[in-house]
Amino acid sequence: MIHDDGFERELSDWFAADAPADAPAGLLQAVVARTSTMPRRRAWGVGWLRLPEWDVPSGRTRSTRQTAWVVLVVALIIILSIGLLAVGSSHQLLEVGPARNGLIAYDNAGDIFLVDPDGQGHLRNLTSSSALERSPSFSPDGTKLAYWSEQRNGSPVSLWVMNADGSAKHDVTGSADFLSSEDTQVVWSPDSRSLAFDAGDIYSSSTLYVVDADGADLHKVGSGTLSRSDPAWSPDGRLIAFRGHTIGLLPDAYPVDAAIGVYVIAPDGTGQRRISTSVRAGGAPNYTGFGGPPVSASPSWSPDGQSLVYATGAAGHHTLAVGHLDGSTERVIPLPPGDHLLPLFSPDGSRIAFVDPTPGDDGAGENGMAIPWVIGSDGTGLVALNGGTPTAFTTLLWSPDGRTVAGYELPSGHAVLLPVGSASGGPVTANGPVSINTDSQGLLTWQRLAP
Amino acid sequence: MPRDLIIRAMGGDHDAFSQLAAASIGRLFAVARLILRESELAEDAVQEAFVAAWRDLPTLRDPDRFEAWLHRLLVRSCYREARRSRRIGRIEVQVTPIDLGRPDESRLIADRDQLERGFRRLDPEQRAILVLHFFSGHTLVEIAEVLAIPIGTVKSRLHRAIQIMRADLDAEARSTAPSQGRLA
Repeated sequence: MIHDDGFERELSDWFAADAPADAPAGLLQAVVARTSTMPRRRAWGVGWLRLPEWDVPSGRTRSTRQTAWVVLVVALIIILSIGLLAVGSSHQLLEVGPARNGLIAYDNAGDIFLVDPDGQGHLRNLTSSSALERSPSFSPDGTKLAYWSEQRNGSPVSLWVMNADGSAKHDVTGSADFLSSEDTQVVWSPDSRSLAFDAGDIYSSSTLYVVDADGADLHKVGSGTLSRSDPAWSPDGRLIAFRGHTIGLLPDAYPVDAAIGVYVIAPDGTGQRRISTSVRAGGAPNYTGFGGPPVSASPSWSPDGQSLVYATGAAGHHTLAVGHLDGSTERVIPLPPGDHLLPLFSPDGSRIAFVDPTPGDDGAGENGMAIPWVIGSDGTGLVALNGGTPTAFTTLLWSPDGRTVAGYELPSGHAVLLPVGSASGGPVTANGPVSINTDSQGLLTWQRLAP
Repeated sequence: MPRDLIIRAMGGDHDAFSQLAAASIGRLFAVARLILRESELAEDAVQEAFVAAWRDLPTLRDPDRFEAWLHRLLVRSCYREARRSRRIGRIEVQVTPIDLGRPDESRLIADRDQLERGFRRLDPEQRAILVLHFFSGHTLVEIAEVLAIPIGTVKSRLHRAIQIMRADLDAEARSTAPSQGRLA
């Protein structure tokens, strides 16, 4: 019998006995032959990541007359929208702000499922083909899902979009291979027409991309020596916030990379500027892949589009800070000592959810668990969710109505929906958390519906 | 790994890269084979890892990180091969009934069959951590660097993987002990 106390030794012995002594004949020759003729990336280049030989367009130029027409049309749309809002019903779904809760989507074993957030079932597989689908993301209007898909063995990992009922699936990025992005959620523009995502590796660099939901105008956002990751679209759609650091420098390098911070940039790559002023703003190196709790996330916009909240500080001692578009002084949110990560504004902007990873048994590092917290945006009303019980989060998101924070619990394999009280910041409700057996360590996304 | 070879390879010296590949390919193949459990998949994973390494070497700023970086490329290739094959964790191992004359040898083979079955039930991420730790001898901190995940995540996954294997093995022991009598 394999005894518990000797299990690790048995495992080591088995690996040693089972491991092949040498690589198969011809493997080295195959490697040398393949690499001898292939092109390499340039050092400090930014347009890499397995794009095909053709380059994606870096943005279109328009004539002055075209621009004038665009301005005119946009102005008319805005005027019409304001008119509609003025006379419209209270049941209209706004692009930003609280909404009614719809279904939850997640991936498991290469398919995307929908489930009712009441935990009572209504499970539906939207992608039952042999393709591998991952990391779904609902559009703000609740009608579409974007996701990564590998259609068949060996095909590129590309971005796809489908309707929320699983119909009208279409490939958005085509032959460009975004393998490194498949564990991350793309972010939709507030008008649900465009998508932003990053592609790359914290060991070297990440690049931001933007593409229309119909597949048009795939382009890189920004240039130069800055690595860009974890995009977040501003509520008015004019800017994308992201975490930046110098390409090629490890995020945990010493001395601290002076470029690490939270930035904004227009979707066409213009107007980049830094918002954060504190050291190491943006949080720890991004990790959302392969399950397990992430330690950083996109900067989170306030619903009015004037501020961003993000983690900042040294590893193991992050705190939360709010930076402002108008350049006013960055505000540190007063919190007890800890490691505060993944801050996220509630849909109405009144509160901020975040997690505090709990230390491991040896008191050092983390044990993969974290206590979820909610605090008022003004720094008052700190409340531990779930009775302060640590939970392993692979994702952290607010329900569209702002009354629940969703996470993912290990090792049970359940998504947990933690009630946070009324939108006005009331106490934690008496209702216990809802647990949904997603049997997945993937990312959750929550559908927004008209009130 | 000789640092000068790495620097030369970073600069485009393909002979230097070939020497680096020759020095490490056996070990990398063993790691991939242990994670993926199939030689064919492991060969593909190793090839893809070296192709990515050659292509991306100019973007590596710190030569001293080369080995961790190469392992990370390999593990990612393994994940990809596992996803593509969709065979990971789904292959039922056919265990030949054991009827050997020497009890010690019989028990050894039976135990390794159990390990094989338990290991195949793990997902590729859990397998990778077990292999890097118990075969390659990486510390948890080194694994965190290789996989680019927090040390806490490494600890929790390692703990979880061992927990799963032990639970499987215990369950199997309980179910088979009366009929086969090969578990102590």
